[in-house]
Amino acid sequence: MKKLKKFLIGTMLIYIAAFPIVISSCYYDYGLDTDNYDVVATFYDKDYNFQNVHTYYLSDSVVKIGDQSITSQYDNQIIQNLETNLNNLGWTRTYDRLAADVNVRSGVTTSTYVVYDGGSGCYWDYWGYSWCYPDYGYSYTYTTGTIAILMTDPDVTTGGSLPAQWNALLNGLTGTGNAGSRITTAINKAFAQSPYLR
Amino acid sequence: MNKIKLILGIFILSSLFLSSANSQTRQGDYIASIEWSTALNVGRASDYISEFGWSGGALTFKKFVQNNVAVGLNFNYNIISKEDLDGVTELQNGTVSGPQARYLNYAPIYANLGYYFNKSKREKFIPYIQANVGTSYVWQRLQIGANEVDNDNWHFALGPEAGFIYKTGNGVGITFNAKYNYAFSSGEPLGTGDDNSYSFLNFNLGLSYIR
Repeated sequence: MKKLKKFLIGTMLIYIAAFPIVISSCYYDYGLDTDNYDVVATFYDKDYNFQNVHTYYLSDSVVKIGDQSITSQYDNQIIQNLETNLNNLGWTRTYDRLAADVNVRSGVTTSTYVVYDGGSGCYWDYWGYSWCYPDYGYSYTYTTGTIAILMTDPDVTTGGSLPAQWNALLNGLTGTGNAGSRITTAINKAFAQSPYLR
Repeated sequence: MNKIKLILGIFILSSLFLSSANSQTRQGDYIASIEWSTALNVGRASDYISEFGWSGGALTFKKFVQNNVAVGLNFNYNIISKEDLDGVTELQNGTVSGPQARYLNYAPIYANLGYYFNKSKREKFIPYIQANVGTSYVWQRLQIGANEVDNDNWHFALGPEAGFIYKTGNGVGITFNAKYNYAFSSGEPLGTGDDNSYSFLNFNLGLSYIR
């Protein structure tokens, strides 16, 4: 029995000694990577009063940012979706850029990522157990597309530039699923999660 | 199943020592405990993750400075996370939506002062209340798609606690305690506002060695 007590005490002392060394953050891997990558981010200037906006100018072109070979297949759809959502705010489209309360422009860009999944390692599962995997030594690539929407006020400038009063970044994996449907969903979501525009 | 095994393991281990204690006073004695620790966010932290955190552990060491008063140290570690495939996170000046995973890891390190409601070593059931004060390191992560945002900070922390030890014999007992942890605001919050405090409850079950 004394040996067992000593064992318990010894175990505790080991834990004490190890605690500062082994303690680190522990994150369960839910597998959120490329398969479910559609993300909609919207940002705005808190000091800008969107209640004063009644008219908007919407550029008919979608700017290719960087790679000029990006397909234009979805350009019209992007513009139409933007027009629908801006009209739903109660705003009126005007074709006079300087007379409009706000200007809206859109752009697209893509980025290709290469992921090398090499080397062995361990991770901790939800219950705190560690699981170790061998070195599979493979790699894969994926490309994400981003649609950027910028809203500026022609009367509000910072130096020589027009700061965005509102902008949306719609990021998703290209080449998977129904891109047209995903674009419409993402643009609608960008406006839905920006109630301050109304 | 793992939880059931753990609880069964604790009871089986403690039953190995079934017998009675045999002295009168506790002053100068010490308690060492190893505990399985669970956690549940409350308040602002609950807005971030409301799910129960089943993973965690705690180590406690105390020395009786009087027959019913003990001082010591407590180390706790808790892991809470959730997945939200259609998550929405409000930021300081915007919103991000999409498949996301949210994580909170807590590591409070406390000095403690405990009051025990009986003084004799012969008592098998020993209820107590305890004040904990110290620091807590909080790891907060928001993963959106393949992107991660981390917000890790040290916090000043407090933790009132109530619990009991049930002695099964030869100085070994089963301990259960509940603790309210409050980590004062420190650093910038991940979401909206200025408050970066966290509060959560612990429910701990484990083995104690009393000598």
